[in-house]
Amino acid sequence: MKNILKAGIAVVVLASAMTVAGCSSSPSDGELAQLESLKSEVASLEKAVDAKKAEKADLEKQIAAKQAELAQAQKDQDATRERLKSQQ
Amino acid sequence: MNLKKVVVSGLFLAAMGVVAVQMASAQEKMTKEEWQNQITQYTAQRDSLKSVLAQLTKDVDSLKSVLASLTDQVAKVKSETEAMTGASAERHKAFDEALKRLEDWAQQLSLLSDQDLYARKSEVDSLQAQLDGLKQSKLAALPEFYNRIQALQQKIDQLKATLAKPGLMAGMEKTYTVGTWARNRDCLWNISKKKTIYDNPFMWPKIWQGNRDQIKDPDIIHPGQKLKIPVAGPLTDNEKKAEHRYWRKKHAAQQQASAQ
Repeated sequence: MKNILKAGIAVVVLASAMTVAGCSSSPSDGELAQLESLKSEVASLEKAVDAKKAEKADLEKQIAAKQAELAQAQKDQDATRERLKSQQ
Repeated sequence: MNLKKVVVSGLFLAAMGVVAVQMASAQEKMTKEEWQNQITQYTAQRDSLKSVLAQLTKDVDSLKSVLASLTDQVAKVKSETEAMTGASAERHKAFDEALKRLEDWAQQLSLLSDQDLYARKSEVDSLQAQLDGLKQSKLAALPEFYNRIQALQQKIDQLKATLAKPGLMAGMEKTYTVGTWARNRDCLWNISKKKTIYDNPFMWPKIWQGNRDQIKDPDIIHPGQKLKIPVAGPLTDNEKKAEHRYWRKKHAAQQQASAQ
């Protein structure tokens, strides 16, 4: 019976030791909130970057179209000048 | 012995259970180190994103400025081109309307059957004359009008090509062989009056103008002459002018005769 008790105590001590060893310091609620706030700031920035990238791509498209329009307008002006010369 | 084994095994299992629960709990709960790592990682990510966003904002502002400059340049070039003609906004508008009217007219003519078009062939000439008039304007050199004028000219050319089809005139134009005055009372007035011709004596200038190669004086036609009878239809501008000239000449001759 003594042996049984000893073995039982040994097991309980071992388990307690393991439990104590598994514990370590964890962040406070304030620190966790700080992390959450940082995460949401990053998510918001990612969205803003994506929107800016889309805006930039759209502007680049508009610029390409406008450059083509300018080239055409200049071509038209040259052609008009030539036609007016030939009318005279 | 058996009891001892059972108790030891039970205690061991209970201890393992406690350890397992403890470990699971530890896994769910963040450690201070993990928190610190995440804070470091997200801070770096935030700073990098802020930097990217700042650069993108700069790029976008720069592109907006480029676009605004290009828009101004396009407007300037277009305005300079317009100014080259020296035309006022009113003249510009009037030219546009005149061209639109000719475009509509050409469109109407292009919808006609070959026969109906032939009956209105003088309108094709008139359309061409009016387009030639517009072509003389400086405004015709502007791209917005130039391209429309080219398209209209193509349409008129198509109408002319239809009218020039070899079989068209042959199939539609009748002929009439002039008889004698004594027997047939044939003069342009009477020929035009015939039911088989125009059933309308006032159409005589049409026969005259259609046979200018063989009728110099519409009062004089000769038996045996084979006259072309143009397709019926209202008198054209040329035919009306010819008729007016004829009556003026006739009137002058009568006045001269009565004066003598």
